[in-house]
Amino acid sequence: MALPRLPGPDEVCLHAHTAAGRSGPFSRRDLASRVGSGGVSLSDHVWFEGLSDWVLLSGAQELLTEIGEPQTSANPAREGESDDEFQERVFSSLVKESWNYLNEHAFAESVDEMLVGAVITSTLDGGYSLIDLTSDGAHHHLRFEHLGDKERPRVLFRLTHLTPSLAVAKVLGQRASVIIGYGERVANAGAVVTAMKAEWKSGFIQNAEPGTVTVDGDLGTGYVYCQVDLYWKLDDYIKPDFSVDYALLTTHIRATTHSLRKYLRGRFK
Amino acid sequence: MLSLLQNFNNASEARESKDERLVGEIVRAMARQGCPAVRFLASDDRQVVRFRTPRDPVLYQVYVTLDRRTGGSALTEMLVGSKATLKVSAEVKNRLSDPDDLIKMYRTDFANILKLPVAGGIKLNHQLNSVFATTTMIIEINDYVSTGEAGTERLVNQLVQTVDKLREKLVSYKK
Repeated sequence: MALPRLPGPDEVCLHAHTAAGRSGPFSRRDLASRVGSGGVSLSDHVWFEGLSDWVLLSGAQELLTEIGEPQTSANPAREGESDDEFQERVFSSLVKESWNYLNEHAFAESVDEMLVGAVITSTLDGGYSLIDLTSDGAHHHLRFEHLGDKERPRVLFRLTHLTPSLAVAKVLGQRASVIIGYGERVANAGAVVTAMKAEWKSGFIQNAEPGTVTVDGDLGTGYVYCQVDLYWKLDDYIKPDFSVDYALLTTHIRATTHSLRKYLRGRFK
Repeated sequence: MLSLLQNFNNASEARESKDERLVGEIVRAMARQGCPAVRFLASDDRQVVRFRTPRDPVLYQVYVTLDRRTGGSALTEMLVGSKATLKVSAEVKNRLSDPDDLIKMYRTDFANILKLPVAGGIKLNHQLNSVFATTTMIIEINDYVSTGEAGTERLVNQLVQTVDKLREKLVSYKK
C-alpha cells in the first residue's frame, strides 16, 4: 500500500501494536532494531502521523524497505554470506541487543539529569549565571542570577525524578516534580518582612498542589522569592537520541518566571 | 545598616558561587558540542558532571570534576585567587571483551602506576569493557568566569582540546 511521507530515520513518531499492547513512539532505527530482535513482528500493526489507521507492517513495503529486511529464521543468511559470517553476525546482534537493553535502562534513569543540563544551558543562554548547584543524583537544586541586570533577578529550579524505573516510565511516561521560583532584591525592608510573613503562611501548606504559589523572604540578602509546584513530562523535552527541545523548554521556563515576576512585583514592590 | 549587611552577604554569595558559575559554563559548552549532561553529583566545593558523547565515533562518555581549593573566603581569594583542580576523563566502551583484555588491562595499569595525571599528563585506567583516560589541570576560576564571552570561548577551546587529546590516547582501544 502507498504510505504518506515516511518519517526520517531519527524521527521518534512510529507506534506499534503488538500482542503485548501498544508501544512507542520510536524512531525508524529503533523499529528496525525491535523487528530484528523479534519485539515487533511482520504480523504486527504500525501507525505514524498521516496514516488514517493502523497498517500491517508486512503490508507497509516502503517502510520495510527503509528499515531493512528483518532477520528471521526463514531468512537466515544474506546473499553471499558464509555460515561462519552469519553465525558471527547473529552473535554480534545478540550482544548489541543486550547493550541496548542496558542503555535503555540507563537512559530512563538519567533523563532527569539530562533535563537539568538542558535547563542550565537554556537559562544561561537567557543571560543568567548558575550560582548554586546541589544534586544527589535524584534531587536537583539549581539557582541562577542575572548578573548583568541591575535588579539581579534570580531563578530557582528544583527537580525530583518520579519515574526512574524503565517499566514505570513506559507506562506513565517520564515524570518529574518541578518547582520553579523567581526572586528579586527588594530594597524596602518592610516588603521583605511581609514576604517573611507570607513564607510563614506558606509553611502551613503541607503538600503544595500544582499552581500553588509559595513565598520566601530572606532578610539577610534582601531577596524575595515566589515559587510554584508543577509536574513535567520529561519526554516532551528530552528525546531518546539525546536531543533536546530547547525551544519548548525555554518557552515553559520563561512563561513560568514571567508569571511569578508579575506576582512578586504586584505584591511586594 | 541593613542594606550594608545585605550587600556584604550578596558579595559573599557571589564569591562562593564562582565554581558553580564555571560548572554552568562547562555544561553549556559541552551541550553546544552535542554532549548532554547525564549525571550530576554536586556539593559545596566539588562538582562532578558526566556527559554522553552520542555523536563521537570513539568516546562513550566524558567526566568533568571541578574541585575548588581556594577562594571560598575573601582572604584566600585576595591572597591566592580562586584555584581549582579540573579533572577531565574520557571513556571508550567496547561491546565485547575477553581474557586477553584482562592481560592488556593489567599491562596498561602497571604502565600507569607511577604516572600522576596532574599538570596535563594523561593516565589510563583499563577496565574490561571500558578504558578511561584522565588528565587534571590546576586552573584559576576567575580566568573563565569574570572575563565575559572571551572567558567562555577560552573555556570551550580548552575543553575541546583536552577531550581531543584524551580521544587520541584512547583511539587504539576502540574495537
